[in-house]
Amino acid sequence: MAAGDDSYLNLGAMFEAAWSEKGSAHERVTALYESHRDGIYRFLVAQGLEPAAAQEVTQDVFIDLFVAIQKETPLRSERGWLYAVAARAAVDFWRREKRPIWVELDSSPTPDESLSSREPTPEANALENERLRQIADGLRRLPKEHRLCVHLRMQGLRYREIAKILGVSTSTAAEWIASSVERLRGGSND
Amino acid sequence: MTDHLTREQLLRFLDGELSRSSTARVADHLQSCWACRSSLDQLEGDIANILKAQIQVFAPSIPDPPNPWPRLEPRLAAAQSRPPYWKRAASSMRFVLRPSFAFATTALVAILIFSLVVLPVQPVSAKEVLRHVEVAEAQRSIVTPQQVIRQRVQIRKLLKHSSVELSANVDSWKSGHITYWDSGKDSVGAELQHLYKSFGISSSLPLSNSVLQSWIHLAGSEPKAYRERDGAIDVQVNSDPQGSVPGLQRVTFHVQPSNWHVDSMNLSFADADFEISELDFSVVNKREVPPAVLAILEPPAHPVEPRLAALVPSAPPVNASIYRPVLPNLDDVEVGVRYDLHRIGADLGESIEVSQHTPDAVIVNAWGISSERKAQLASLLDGKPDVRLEFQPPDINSSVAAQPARSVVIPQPPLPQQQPDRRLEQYFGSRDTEENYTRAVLDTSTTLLSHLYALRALAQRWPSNNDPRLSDSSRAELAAMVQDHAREVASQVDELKAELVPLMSGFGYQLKSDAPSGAFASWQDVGVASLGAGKQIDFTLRSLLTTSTSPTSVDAAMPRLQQQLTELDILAKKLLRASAQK
Repeated sequence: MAAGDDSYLNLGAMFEAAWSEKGSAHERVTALYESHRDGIYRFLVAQGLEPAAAQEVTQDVFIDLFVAIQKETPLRSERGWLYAVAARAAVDFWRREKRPIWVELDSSPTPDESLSSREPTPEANALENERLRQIADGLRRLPKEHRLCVHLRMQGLRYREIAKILGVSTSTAAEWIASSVERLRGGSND
Repeated sequence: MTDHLTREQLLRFLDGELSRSSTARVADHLQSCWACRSSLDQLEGDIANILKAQIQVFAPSIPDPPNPWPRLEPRLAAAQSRPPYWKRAASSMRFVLRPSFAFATTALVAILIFSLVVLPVQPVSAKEVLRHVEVAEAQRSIVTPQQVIRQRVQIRKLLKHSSVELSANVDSWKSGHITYWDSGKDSVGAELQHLYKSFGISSSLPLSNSVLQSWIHLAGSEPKAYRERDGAIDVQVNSDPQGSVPGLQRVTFHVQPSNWHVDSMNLSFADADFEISELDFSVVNKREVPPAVLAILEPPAHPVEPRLAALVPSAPPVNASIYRPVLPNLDDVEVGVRYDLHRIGADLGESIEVSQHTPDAVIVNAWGISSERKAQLASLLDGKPDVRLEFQPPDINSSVAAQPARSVVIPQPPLPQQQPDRRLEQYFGSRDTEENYTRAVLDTSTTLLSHLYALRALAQRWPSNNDPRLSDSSRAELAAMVQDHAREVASQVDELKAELVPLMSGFGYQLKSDAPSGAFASWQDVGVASLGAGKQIDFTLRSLLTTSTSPTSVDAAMPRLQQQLTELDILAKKLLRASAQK
């Protein structure tokens, strides 16, 4: 390379850096998509979206993340951000859908047999399974806003972030989370 | 600290959601209180169980995606925005500086300049366009004394953050200085009219030269006009951020230069866009105008109807236009308010009363609620057209207060203080177990009743499914509320069954397979009947399990519970079906 080309060499380096940033945003979002798409999809179905719609919205959520990264939006946690955007989509869906929101599950929820149990006896194992089934059933029966609060808290969102998504005060979100935990506890003790 | 910590305090503590000082106080209390430390451990265990249930049961039971996951790269490529300017400039320079690419670069720059100068929309004189519009409007508005102007517009409201779109067609008539809008039962038309009224844009058809001039004035900046590629002209006014209309960002008019008519207008606010498009403009004979409309356009010398009298000034100024608001449909407004309250669970027994204040407002009065709840209500309802929020305890001397309250405060379940029947203690094994059971079952009953009372309130306000007072959107909101309550009633009855059936079995009683429940046609009827059944069962439970004023024995209570629970179960199912009927 000629010495006289140094000026454009520097500019070229900046250009390359810009495009490598683009490449890295692509890679980051693609990697997140591979690892989190299933979780986001299930989260959306759990908030009442139809499976096909949930699959569409899941992709939109990752595109939104890509745009946010490009705009250099500060993200405390990419995962939390993904769930927050998905939750907003769910809330928008509720507002559009003026009908009761049902969470459709494959069947009556039963514990995943592939997960090993720590219970010492088959009887204790059966009891434990029944308890988990009752809690899962309770989750399905929670008011949709309460269920969303619980699911977002599971993803590490703070109360104020959850409140913002639902358009309620932080204390209301806290109250909903606490009452949900209480209600689910009651279900497991039946 | 002598009082024990609540579950919510403990949860906030675990989640790191307490202030620093509260965290220190709670930590200090936990060090000294075995009971609270035990509750904290239990809460941690509950959370672990919920997580476990989510991971092992709930999430796996959600159906798999219906389609294979597509690759994201094509959509990422489409979403790829252009790099920042300096980056593009840097990349351009790289090639410009290469001698071998100099010619190609020059050609590219020439094409770029050509595309920037020739292809985009052409600026035209906004002043000239507005002058043409004014003349054209004056020409098409010439009427004889036997004629009036009629304009039909479509109004679309697009919420920016939720992709929700609402639309309505509005008919309007103008005769002399008097204009009348018929927004029908669609709230969007009324909302736009309210907006016009709020900013003093009155006496105009929804889309007219005077409206255009008013909005330009309100936006507070110079209009700019551009000719689009199809020949039409857009007049655009960016709003001054310090201007007189909060949230207004931009006003755009679309003008057809073939006749200089404004055929659409867009009012862009921070949260929503209003698009007003002209569907029809005609000069019609007064004989073709509905008599009720004509009565407003040409009022009698003295008002004959009190409702109109409030709208018609007795001596209109000669050169001033008279704004005649269409009275809001208070039933629609009330349904909207109740729906908003329902969404935050404020229709379940709190002291919140919703009433119509004819002719033009719905009043929401709340008392005895926390300041946070007040703030929540204020943020929910403030700024809503035709809605007034008050926090006034009812005046005990007023005639209104003397009437039965429309909001029903659900009594909290009392704690059992004595044992009416020793066989219950033997059945439960311990007093604590019985107390816990009583709390749980009365809690379920209370929740059930709160939904049934909410349903009854709706049934009393709108006793027919096809109430002509309601617009389609209000009917949809009403149906959604009814279905939510019906679903919750069914869920609570299931819970009640799960709690009561084992107790009944313990004393030799089973749930009957059927029971007479009468024939009901509508959710209103079934809802009221369900409330009756719910109240009966609540009474029986309190008589049996608490220190009720009318205690009862196991022998007397069990057959009643059997009968009442069976009937309630059937009614809940009926209610679910009835609520789904259109």
